[in-house]
Amino acid sequence: MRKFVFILIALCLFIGISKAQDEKFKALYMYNFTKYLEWPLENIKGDFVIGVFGTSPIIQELMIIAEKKTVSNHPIVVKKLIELDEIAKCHIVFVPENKSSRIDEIAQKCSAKGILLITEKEGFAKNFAGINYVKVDGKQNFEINKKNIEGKGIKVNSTLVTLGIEIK
Amino acid sequence: MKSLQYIIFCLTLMLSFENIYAQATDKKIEELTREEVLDLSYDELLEMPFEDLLKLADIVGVSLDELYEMILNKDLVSASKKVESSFNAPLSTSVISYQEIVNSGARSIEEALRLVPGLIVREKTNGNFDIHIRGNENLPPHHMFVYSENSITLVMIDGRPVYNYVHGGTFWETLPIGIEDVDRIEVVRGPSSALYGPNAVSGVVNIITKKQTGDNLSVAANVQAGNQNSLISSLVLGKKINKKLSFRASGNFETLDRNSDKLYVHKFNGKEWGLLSKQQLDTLRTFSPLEGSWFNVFDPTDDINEMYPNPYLARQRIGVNGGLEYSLKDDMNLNLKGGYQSSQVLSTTMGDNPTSMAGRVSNTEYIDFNARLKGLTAQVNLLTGWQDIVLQDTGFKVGIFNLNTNLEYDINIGNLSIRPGFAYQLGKYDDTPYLRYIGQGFLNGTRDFSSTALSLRAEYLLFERIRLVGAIRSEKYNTHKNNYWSYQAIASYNLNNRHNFRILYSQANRGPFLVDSYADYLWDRVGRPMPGSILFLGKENLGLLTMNMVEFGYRVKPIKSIQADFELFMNNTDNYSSLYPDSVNLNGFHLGTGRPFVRMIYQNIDMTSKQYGVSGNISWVPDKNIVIKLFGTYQKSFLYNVIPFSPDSAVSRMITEAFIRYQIDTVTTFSKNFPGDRVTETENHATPSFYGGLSVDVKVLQEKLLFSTNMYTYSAQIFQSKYSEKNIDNKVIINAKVSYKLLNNKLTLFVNARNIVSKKREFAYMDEIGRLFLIGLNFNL
Repeated sequence: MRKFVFILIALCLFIGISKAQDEKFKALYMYNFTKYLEWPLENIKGDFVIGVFGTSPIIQELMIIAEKKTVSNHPIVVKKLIELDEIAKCHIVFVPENKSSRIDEIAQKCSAKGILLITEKEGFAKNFAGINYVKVDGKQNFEINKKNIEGKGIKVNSTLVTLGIEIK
Repeated sequence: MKSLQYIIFCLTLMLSFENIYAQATDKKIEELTREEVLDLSYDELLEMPFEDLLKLADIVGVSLDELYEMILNKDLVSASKKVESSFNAPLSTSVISYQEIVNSGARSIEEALRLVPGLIVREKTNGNFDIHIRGNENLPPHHMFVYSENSITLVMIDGRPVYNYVHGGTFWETLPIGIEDVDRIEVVRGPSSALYGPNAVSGVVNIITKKQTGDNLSVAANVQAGNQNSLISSLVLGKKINKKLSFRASGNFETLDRNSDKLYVHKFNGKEWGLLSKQQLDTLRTFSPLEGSWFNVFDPTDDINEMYPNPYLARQRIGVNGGLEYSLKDDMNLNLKGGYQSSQVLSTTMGDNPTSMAGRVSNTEYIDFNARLKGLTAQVNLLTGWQDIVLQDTGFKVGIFNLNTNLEYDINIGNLSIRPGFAYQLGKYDDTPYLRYIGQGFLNGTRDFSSTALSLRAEYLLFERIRLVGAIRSEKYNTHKNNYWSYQAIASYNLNNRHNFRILYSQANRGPFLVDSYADYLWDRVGRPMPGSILFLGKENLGLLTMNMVEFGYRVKPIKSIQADFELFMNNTDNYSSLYPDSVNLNGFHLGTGRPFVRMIYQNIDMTSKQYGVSGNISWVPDKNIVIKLFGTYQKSFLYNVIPFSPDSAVSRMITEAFIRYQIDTVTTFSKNFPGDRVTETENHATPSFYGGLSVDVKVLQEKLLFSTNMYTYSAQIFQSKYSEKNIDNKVIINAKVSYKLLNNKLTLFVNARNIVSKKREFAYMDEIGRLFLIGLNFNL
């Protein structure tokens, strides 16, 4: 029995441990979306604000990217949103899965110009979000609804639509 | 000098790592391995074009978080009749997936239940298992083997019950499916009649079969062979015919021999005979009837070669299944399944035989239709065929017809969901085609069993954290005047999705059995020892065994890679019923002109059973290639007002009493005084006080080589049969399986060792179960 446990421990050390990658990829995607989108001039002044509704591990990942990159030379600021009113100052609003029950009120606040709403709940790209994170066969992908984005005055490069799953 | 050498060594090591690193990023994106992708830095990832980043996501595949959820927190449907995660299920539940079953090397669905907490699994003869949930076994004690059968667990395949309504219990070998058909097995511990109807008393085992998912033809074949002439094989095919329609077909065949051809014979003629060969058993029949004791002699018309055609054979079965699935929309689909099975086993007898072992043959066909249309769920299934449950012992062969219909509707209003339901069950059993004359069988005709039930399940989510569940079911049996009610009341609290507390109360009952209700069998024992004749009478409207349970449960996810479950349960069972003498009549025996006549009736007894127990289960995924599970149950059972003697002993005493009364008043020649001595309170040792297991699965060499080992153990028990008491030693069962994947994971070769360290008997009066070695392959297209 002891020998068995010893071998088991040895195997554990040999194999090592890998990290969770979901949030990292979602954050990287989010940064890449901005390369294919053009916000209306009047909205883009000063910092580029990404607001995350509630607590989510994606905040840490976005902060790492914010230190290294900019959006059209505007520094990226990552904000944890608690009040609905804070939404107005954001360029991107991300709604994590566990806050999906509040989508109706959040979507309403995002109806103003220049706000890209990103969600991660099945079906949200149809009526609410411009971009919705989905998992296809276990792999991170995204749905994109061009109308929901252009309706806010944000221009969409058609390449982005081909890279994701188009929702009409 | 030494420290300089050390520094140079380290630098060289670092540089070489750097080299490997550089080589990784020089590669084309598509060629990177998962490990290499995970090692890329943020800077590298941020420099990549979006297209390349998307390709990397493909390579990374399932994240560790998802892996944890997949392994630790599987989805299930049996606790609330809708999909939810194991963590949130409001009842004590366990789910084992097809992959876990295959990895463990379990040879059958029954053996796979050794991976589930709260299950007591004993092997009787090679491949034939006795399975109980939590306990309450062999009640009442000192009685026939039929009462050691588990008649208080409901086994279902996709919601279709597989249950023997004639005598009670589940004949596991008659399941038409094999392991390759299984997607997962969901086990609910505790009374669940409110959800599933009668017989879901100690719990439910719901076997969910695989659905066709891929577009292309899928073929899966599994075959393993080993010592004791063991061969287990199955084949599954599936294909999508068009966008909406898919089909699946499967077949399975297995044959297993025992490690001996001896049969166990009980006390007879004052001596316990033990293991005899078939020939030796046959010679016992030539004993003069006067030397034998009351019941233990063969019927002169029984043919020993028909009863034991092959005493070496433990189990042989074949099953064929087919199914069509039609998906109208996401929430609307139709499913039609059907199949056939034929099986033969040598296991414990159900009747009153001199041996503990008897054959059992079954030949059945089924058809199962299931429709889901938005909130409506409808199920209709039919089972026909015949079963001879004590091979060639007249009276035990019955033609079967079982119809089950179930209709339920989901209504959701905000935080409240309601699920009303209607169920109708019909069973028709006929033994006349298999009797030489009417009166020879237990039923002596076609007997019906039917029940109609209305149920309601309601669930309310309070403050997004507290879940309140109530379920109630009212069942009307054709054999009973009044309705039987079963309930479930549950409150559970989810704290931060890390802790889940629950408290619940439930009540469930066992249904009526055909023989218990309708038996009308006169056993004329000409040429046999006393008594001269015995009349077995069933009784309608018998009180039905009922269990009440209170349970506290706690689940915790201290860190993402660990999930732990704890259960504290207390159950109380009463309304037991069994066959006991009602009266004896000397019938001239006192004058030397006749032999006693005994009247046995299925009747309720005062005995009650109380059980207290605690169960724990910890699952740990320390690495994406290692899964460790540890579980155990500790329990104590008490019996009150136990009848401490066997029915045979009661008959003896009653005949003696009748004799004495006659001697006193020279008139009375009968006795209706069933002996009144009872044991007020005793601990029930039929259930082991501890049972549990440990399993460790390790994948190495890029997940191609899998080492799997599992241990199942139980503590000592005492089995009290009609004839004697047997001590069952504690046993540690250790199994191991090593599998290797080839041909792009399409082919797996494996070596499987069962019961490596112990050769102890697991079920009283049955075989000693020892080592089994098998080799096999699994092909998956």
